[in-house]
Amino acid sequence: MEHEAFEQLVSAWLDEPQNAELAERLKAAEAAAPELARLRTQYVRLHSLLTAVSSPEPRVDWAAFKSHLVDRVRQACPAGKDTADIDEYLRQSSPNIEQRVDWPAFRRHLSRLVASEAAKRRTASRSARWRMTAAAGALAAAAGILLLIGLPDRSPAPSPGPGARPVAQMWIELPTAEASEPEPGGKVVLAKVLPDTETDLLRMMGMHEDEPPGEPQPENYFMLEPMDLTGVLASAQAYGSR
Amino acid sequence: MRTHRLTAAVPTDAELVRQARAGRAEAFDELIERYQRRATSVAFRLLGDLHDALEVCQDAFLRAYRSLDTLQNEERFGPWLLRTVTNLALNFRRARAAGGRRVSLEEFILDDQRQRDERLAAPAYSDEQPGAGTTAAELAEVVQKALDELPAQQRAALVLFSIEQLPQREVADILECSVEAVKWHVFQARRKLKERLADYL
Repeated sequence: MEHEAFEQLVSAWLDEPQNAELAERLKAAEAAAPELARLRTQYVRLHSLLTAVSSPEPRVDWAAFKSHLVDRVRQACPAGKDTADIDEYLRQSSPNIEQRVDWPAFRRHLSRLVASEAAKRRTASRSARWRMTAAAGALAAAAGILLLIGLPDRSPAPSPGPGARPVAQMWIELPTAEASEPEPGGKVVLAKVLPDTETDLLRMMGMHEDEPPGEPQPENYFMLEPMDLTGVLASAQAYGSR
Repeated sequence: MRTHRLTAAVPTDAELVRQARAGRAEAFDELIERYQRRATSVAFRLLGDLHDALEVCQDAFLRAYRSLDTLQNEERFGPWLLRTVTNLALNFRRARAAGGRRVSLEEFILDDQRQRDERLAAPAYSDEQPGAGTTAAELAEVVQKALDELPAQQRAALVLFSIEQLPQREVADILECSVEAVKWHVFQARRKLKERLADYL
């Protein structure tokens, strides 16, 4: 058996030391080429070394654990006693982080950090709810403004006279308190007056003396009819309660 | 007269995760108690420095807490945490190589310099064995240096499987690779270590 194949077999056996088939194959390979036994010993020592440098628990029954390790290593390694001694020395030389850390204090430190994190999350959650509410209000206001500015020309405007500016209107009619009455009790009118092209052209060119230069802008008006809202509000209230 | 013995059931990781998700902070404290040593140990083996290991352990717990809601199988909290520790430790090495920031966690380390010197000055081998005269400090340094020189995947596989003795399937889960890949990484790591530590074997 080639060295690399044998090494792979040893590694597989170290992964599964209870695997009898792997142990048999190793034994057979070593019988055929005795120098391979030395190779296995090196791997077993390496394995013991790595295991020994891990962090041991302080409350382990060390005597029993040592006995267990010695038995395991003796079973695995032909070198027997020597390897067990090496393990013991290596185990004693391990960088024992278990005894170097104040675990309760470290745990308290971590708990405090987590509690602080939880508090941050709660604050962030409240802040997010407030922002959502504010955003919803702002969106509603923006929608209202957009509706007002971008008001389409939905009503037939009266035919303009000479020099008159085109007007778009939309109105919302509020019924009277009595549903049977066909006439509306009031009217909310949104009116949009489109720019006067000639005047605004002059204004843009800075030639209109009364107005500062600028882009022609439509003008929007919000009108209530009739001027006395008492009846309208009463009818709207009655309408809303139905 | 019949007597009833009340036994307090130890909550499983899954129960603790669910309680922590529901806002019971003590449940996460218990998870910290259960895993802090192993997490620090893995980080220590991957980094070779106790301060760095504590820092990584701390970051891992914080990340775990923050993303607790994303853990689908609550019973797998341990491997999930160790995966975070492994990834953080490997990233920490890169950051450290680039001169990354260090947080002082000195207050959590107990041993004073004298005790440490005494412990590390102890002989690692008897006179008859290879490497005789090597102190524990030297040996620990040599082993850690050899581990440090391994490629990241091989080092992580060896640390988690051979040193921390996690099952291969869990190591595969942590490293997000197959069990066969874990075996291969461990084998390659052992071969390299055997060459580098030949004087001590």
